[in-house]
Amino acid sequence: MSDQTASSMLEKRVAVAVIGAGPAGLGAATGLALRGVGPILVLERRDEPGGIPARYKTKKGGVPTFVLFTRGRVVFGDQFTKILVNEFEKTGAEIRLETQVLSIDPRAKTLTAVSPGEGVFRVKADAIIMASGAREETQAERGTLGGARPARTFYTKNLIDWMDRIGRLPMQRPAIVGSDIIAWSAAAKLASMGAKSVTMLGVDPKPKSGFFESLYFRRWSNPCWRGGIAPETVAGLLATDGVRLANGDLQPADGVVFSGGLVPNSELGFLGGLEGNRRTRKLALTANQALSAPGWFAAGGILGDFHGAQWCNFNGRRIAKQVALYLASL
Amino acid sequence: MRLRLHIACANQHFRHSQVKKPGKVLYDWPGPGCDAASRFTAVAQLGVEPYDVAVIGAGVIGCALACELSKYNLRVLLLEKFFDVGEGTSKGNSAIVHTGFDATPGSLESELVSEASRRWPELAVRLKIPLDPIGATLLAIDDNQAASLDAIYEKALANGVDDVRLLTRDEALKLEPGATPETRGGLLIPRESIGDPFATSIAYAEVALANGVDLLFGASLKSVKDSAGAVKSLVLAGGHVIKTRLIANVAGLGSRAVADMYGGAEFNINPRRGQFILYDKFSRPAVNHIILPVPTKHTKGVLVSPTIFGNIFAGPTAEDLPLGSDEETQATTAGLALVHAGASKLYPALNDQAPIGAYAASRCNCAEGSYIFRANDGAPGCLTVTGMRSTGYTSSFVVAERLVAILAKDCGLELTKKADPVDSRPESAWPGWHRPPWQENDRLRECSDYGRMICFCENISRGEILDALNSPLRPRTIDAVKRRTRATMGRCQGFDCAVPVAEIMAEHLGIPIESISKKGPGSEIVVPLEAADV
Repeated sequence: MSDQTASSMLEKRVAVAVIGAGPAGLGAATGLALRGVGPILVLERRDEPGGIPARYKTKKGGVPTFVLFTRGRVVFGDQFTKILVNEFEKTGAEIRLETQVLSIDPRAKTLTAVSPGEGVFRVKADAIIMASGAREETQAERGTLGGARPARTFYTKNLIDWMDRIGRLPMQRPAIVGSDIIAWSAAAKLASMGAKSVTMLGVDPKPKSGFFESLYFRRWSNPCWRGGIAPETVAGLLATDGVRLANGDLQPADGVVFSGGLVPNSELGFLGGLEGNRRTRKLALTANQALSAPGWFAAGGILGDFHGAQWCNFNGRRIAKQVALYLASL
Repeated sequence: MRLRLHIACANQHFRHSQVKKPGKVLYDWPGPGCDAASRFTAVAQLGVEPYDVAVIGAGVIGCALACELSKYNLRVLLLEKFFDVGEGTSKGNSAIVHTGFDATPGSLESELVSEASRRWPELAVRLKIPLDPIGATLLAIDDNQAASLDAIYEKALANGVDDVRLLTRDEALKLEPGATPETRGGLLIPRESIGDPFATSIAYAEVALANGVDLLFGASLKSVKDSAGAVKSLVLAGGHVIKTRLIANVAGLGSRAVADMYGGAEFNINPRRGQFILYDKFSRPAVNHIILPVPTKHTKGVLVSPTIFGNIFAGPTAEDLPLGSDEETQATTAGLALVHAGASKLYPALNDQAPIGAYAASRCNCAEGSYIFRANDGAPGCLTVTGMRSTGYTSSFVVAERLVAILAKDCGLELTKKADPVDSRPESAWPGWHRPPWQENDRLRECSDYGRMICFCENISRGEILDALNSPLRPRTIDAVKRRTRATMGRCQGFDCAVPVAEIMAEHLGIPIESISKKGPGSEIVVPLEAADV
């Protein structure tokens, strides 16, 4: 960023800025507003609130994947999102959509963001909550190789875009690399849309996911588990032919899904100088989820490891209390 | 409303190429994956006159040659079997602009590389391609290597690289605090630079196009008829026949197969694969210069370097493969382990950094030597260029000047300069990642799509993706858009933007999203419905 732009930039002053309007960010903002903290500004880079769950659309014959522990039900992601958004909207806290945070300055407690309507602007806050969620592990992060980088390698997130938003099954005979709960949900969703056969691959001898999860998803699919051998390379020159395993076998497939294995979206923190482990991408935390600079907190998927959407939401609510205490101490 | 904004974005860019009569860009694209306006259906689309020169292969050398030829009054065709420029060896290089300090003194490679190295800063500004002269430190990490530093220093001087400086251990470690404590000493090569591996081929081709050169993508050459005649016929796999007076074979790894079509003399290519590991941008402060090991007879070795995009990388390996091997562009577990071992021995700080990707490509390595230029090879009017190894990126434009001189002197090409040829790209052609449009308030106000982020890792906006699609070569594949914008190339490798980019392309080109492909026909991003039902 050039100094010229920086000096002429519009600046917004708020009590709390929340990066990300997923379950954790909405939970934190709602919790803070209910405690009377304000003004609150939530910045969301997508064009709708709700984060990853919002991408999962309610469909007849579809696979509900989001557990509402409080109501003892499993619902579709957009149903879950609706509950959180309703709660949030009642508080009157402000949200900006299509707003990408470009950089943070932990010491000054400012962040720089851009949106189509407002251009580049700066936000100065007394406290900032990073709730930017997580993404799925890349091939490099898993140690699986891209080969000649053929077409038709997906993440579960891409599948959801294809199946729930565009309404198209992107492949018929997928191989899923991964076996956690996200991988099981991917297999179920593919089968529910008509995939002919689904194979799950992993280096572990048994699938990672627990018995009850697999039992639940077996209502839609019964993927063939081929474990104990590392999936080594995506095979194919133009489009994916399959997955080459460490023992040399080819598992044929017309597409590969790299599923689960969540990685925190913590880069803004590392680029801004916050501390943490760069290899695991987990930011350094104190007991109350405070980050390495005063006034900075983290909530939800950015903490690392797999957490359900409702856990993330509760975690956001919980952090709201810590943040309110911090603000009172200023 | 949104449609109007697209047009605003499009008009702001590349106005420049419309001033003169530009060449045509056509795609020989079976199936629906390409817009009708860009599709090659008949040779008549290219005109009836034979071409003066057909350049076979749109890698960095082919594009540079087309660019150089375009300054003269000639009819030139650039023919490429893939669906973008720079799709072969040129896309997987280290993007280091070498000084040639370690080349064999007196060789053609040394002469051309060292001349190019001096002229690169001017070229970069003219073509609007980023160049960062960060310099290189060559580190000796054992006594044998330390003993060879003097000889490397003398060799650099003999190659005309007279600004090199020997470093003591302390000086070397001060310049590179993350280097191994085993460091015994080193050599500083201040003018070694890094550039954009993709933008260079693109820039040459855009200038060539602006000067009237025609480009045909997806054109797989099947045979050459009347190769000894004054007018030769290029027969494409689809049956189309294109007439040309001269052939410049700059097909890289494909140069042997093309040379066989006109009876070119013997040379043997052993593709030399190089594998790389790429690290995240927050690793960038860990490395100050290009960090080179002491070279061996076989290879320059595994180096560690910043990329111009702000990442760091380690690589390449040097593994000779049989010609035609499917493995030319494949990364392997063993290869990447070698890269990691080599790089971390030189630079242990790398062990704490997060890798985001791995890639591989093969250099055009010839058993008969480097920089082989053969005029009238097998037949009059056929020029073979091969063995460019790993320095073609640096030397490309100087090689092109040399090749044009050879075509004039030995193949009877008549050269008359155009009155006022285009020799640069407009300001707006600077890559978006290099000069983000959102940093310029006026551009953002004129077109709000520059503030609508699609790629969250690299902060690439919808406006930049549309600009790429509207750019002169009219890229039509996801990989081509990626190489122009960096969308899908960041740390998440397409987690967020893979599908949105395809949606923007489909909407803009007016074709179904199922037809969008990664690198041309056969690489559609979803399984075609008819194939799926089989």
